[in-house]
Amino acid sequence: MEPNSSIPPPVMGAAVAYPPAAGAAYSAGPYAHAHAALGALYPPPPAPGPPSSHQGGAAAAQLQLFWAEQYREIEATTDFKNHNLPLARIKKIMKADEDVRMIAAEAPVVFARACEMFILELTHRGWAHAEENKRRTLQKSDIAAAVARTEVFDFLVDIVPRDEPRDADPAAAAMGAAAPGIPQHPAAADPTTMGYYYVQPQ
Amino acid sequence: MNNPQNPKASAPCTLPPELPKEAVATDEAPPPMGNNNNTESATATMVREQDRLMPVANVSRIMRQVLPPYAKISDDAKEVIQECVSEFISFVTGEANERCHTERRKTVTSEDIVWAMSRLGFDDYVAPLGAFLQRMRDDSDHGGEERGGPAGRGGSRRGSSSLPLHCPQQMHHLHPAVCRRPHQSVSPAAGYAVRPVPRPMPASGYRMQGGDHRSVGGVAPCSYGGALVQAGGTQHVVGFHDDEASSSSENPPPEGRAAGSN
Repeated sequence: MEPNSSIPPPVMGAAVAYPPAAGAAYSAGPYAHAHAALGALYPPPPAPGPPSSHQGGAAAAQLQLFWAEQYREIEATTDFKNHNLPLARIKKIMKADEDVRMIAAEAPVVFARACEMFILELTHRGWAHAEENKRRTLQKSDIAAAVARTEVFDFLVDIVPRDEPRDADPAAAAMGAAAPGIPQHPAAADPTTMGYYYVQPQ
Repeated sequence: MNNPQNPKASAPCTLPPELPKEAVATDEAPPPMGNNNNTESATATMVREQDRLMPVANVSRIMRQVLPPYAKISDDAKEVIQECVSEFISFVTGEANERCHTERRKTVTSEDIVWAMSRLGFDDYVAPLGAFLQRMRDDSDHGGEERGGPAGRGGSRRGSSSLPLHCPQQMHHLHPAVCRRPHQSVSPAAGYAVRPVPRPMPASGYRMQGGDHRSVGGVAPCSYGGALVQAGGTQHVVGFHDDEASSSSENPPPEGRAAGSN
C-alpha cells in the first residue's frame, strides 16, 4: 500500500494534464502523454526483486488512471441504445450454457459494457508487455503475457496457448512457464461439477 | 407463478404444430454440443463459431481506444481477444446462473451479472457497472418520453398497429415456451429437446421474430404480460440490433415488477 501511495502522486500530476486532453476525445495529445508515462513507468527490469515491486506499483497506478477514465466515460454516456458490441451475440453466448433459462433484457446491455472494459483492460496490459519488448505491434504473445501476469485472468489460461510466448522472448517464455503453476485444472473441473449438479435437479 | 403456468402448460400441449418443431429441436440438439466440443468441423460449424465470437471490427475498435495511434494490432491478437471475450461472458454467466439456482429464480438479471463479477475477482468492474446501471434506468424513464419523437419509433408504432394479427401467434409461441419449462424440470432429455427450439425459428423467419417482439412490447403493461415479455425475450435469441435496443428500453419496467413480485 505504502509504495503504491508513493507512486500515484506523480501519476496524478500527469493525470491533471490528462483530463483536458481527454476532452478532445482521444486526440494524439493524450496518447503521447500516455506513451511518455508508459515509457517512464515500465523500464526494462534486469533484477527480479525490486523491479517487480516497482513494476507492480506502476501497473497499479496505470490501472487507477484507467478506471478513473472508465468512470468519466460512464458519466458522459447519454445513449444506452447504441452499444459497441451486438447484444444479440452476447445473448447467444449466454444461452450457450444450457442451464441458463431466462435472461433479463438489461443483462446483455450491462454485459456489453463489462466486455468493453474487459477488452480495454486486457489490451492495456498486453500493450505494456509489447512496449517492454520495444514493439509497436500488439501480438498474441502480449495478450498471453498479460493473462499470465494477472490472477483475475486465470480462467483464460486455457484460451491463450502457452506456445506463443516461445516466439516472443525468454521473459515471456518464463511467464508462460509460470502459468502452469497456477492450479487451473481444479477450476476447470468446477464447471463440470456444476454442470452435473444442474442436470440432476432437472 | 404456478397458477398461471398450469393453464399455459395445458393449452400448448393440445397444439399439433408444436410437435414438429420439437422434433426439429431434437435433431438440432446434438450437433451444437458436438460442434462446441470439437470447435472445428464443417462450414455450418464455422458459421456457428463466428456466431460464438464478438465481431472482430467491434473488438478492434474498442482495443484502439486504449492504444496509442501508432500502435498496430496483429490479427492473431484480435482473434485471441475475441476468444477471451466469449470465455469471459460464459465464465460470468455460469457464476450468475448458479446464484439464480441457489435462490430458485429463473431469470438472470443485471444484478446477478454484477454480483458474479465481484465474486470472480472483477472488483474494479462493479462500481462502474453499478453507475452505468443506475444511469441506464434513469435514461429508460426519459426514453419513455422520447418514444413519440423519433420517426423510427413511429415505424415501431406502425408495427404495433398489427398487434391484433400477431397476438394470437404470439400467444401460441409463448405458451410452448412456458410449457417447455416444466418439461425441463421433469427430465434432462426433454430439457435438451426444448431449449434449442428458439434457434431454428430465427433462421426461418426474422420478420416473424420482429413481429413477435413488438407484440411482446405491447403486452408489457400487465404482470401476465410481464411473463410473456420474459418468454419472448428468451425466444428472441437472434434479432436485429434495433429490436434489441427497443427491447432494452421497453422491458425494464416489467422486470422491475417481476422483481417486486419476487
